[in-house]
Amino acid sequence: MIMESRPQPNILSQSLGNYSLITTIGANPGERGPWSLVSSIPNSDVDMLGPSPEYLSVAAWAA
Amino acid sequence: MVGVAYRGKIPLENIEVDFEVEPLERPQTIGFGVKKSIILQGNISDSEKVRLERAAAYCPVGQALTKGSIKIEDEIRWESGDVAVVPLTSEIDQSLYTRLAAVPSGSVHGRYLIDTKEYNGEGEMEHEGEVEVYVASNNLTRSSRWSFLAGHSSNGWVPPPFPFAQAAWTASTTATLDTLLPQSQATVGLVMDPAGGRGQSQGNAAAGKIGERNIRRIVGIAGSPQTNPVEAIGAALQMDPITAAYRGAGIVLDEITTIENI
Repeated sequence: MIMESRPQPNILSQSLGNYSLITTIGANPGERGPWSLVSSIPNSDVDMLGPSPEYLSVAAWAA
Repeated sequence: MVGVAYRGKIPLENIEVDFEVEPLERPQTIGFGVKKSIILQGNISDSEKVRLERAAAYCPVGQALTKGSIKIEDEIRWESGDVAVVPLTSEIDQSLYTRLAAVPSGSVHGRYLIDTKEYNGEGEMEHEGEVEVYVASNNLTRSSRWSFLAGHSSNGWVPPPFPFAQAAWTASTTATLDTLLPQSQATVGLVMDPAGGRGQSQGNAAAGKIGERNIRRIVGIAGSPQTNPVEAIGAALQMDPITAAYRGAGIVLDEITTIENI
């Protein structure tokens, strides 16, 4: 249980199935956003829904 | 870079940037490296080129990935209600690195959308505009492509680059914890201290000055410290590739800046 007095994250990430992740920027009410990004872990079972997190980092750098 | 050029009255007309992403061996490296190529278009002198190269190297995202500007504080919040701050550990089982997914080869291309610049009524630039980013990478099933928009605009339709980068870091952390500690059911969040704004970031970039940011990374973990010990979580956090890059492990293999006079 997270107590209300603790700082709440403004960027959040969690798993989305076996090989993918959903990340939200501006997760709290009143913040700019929210923007959601899907990324995936490279694997041999299924196509990737989004780029790997390493590629997302480089994409942010390119921007 | 657009903001620095505007403040410095450098006639920068357009920018394109390419990154080649190459897989590398772990644990000697973070698992990948990039070759960076920037093309600047405009009637730009050699001294102006140097200033823009410095701005590119000291942009907030570049600083985070290459200059250790992010000061990380890790906190674990277990489902049981226990909370702990994670110390750096010197004991990491090197064989665990083989469990992390290999980074596929590929490329990232950024194209500045010059028409998205915004000016106020006095003709001063208020927002630098947006960048279209194309990502192409291989996978073990087939290669894939994606596109993103990021940048600075008044409507806030697109995420700014720095939060975008930290979103990638949280995704990387979650992926690493899922892979190494699948029973942890980790969720990862960031609490970022307010920054000085774009003006300060651009001032730092223009001056080649590192602007440190304190970020608390909060990891939600199933169970309790008995079922998911802090030592194992701490080791996994340290093995995360973007975390390692933020701590100065190195990511740039090569970089070149080219000017195209137009």
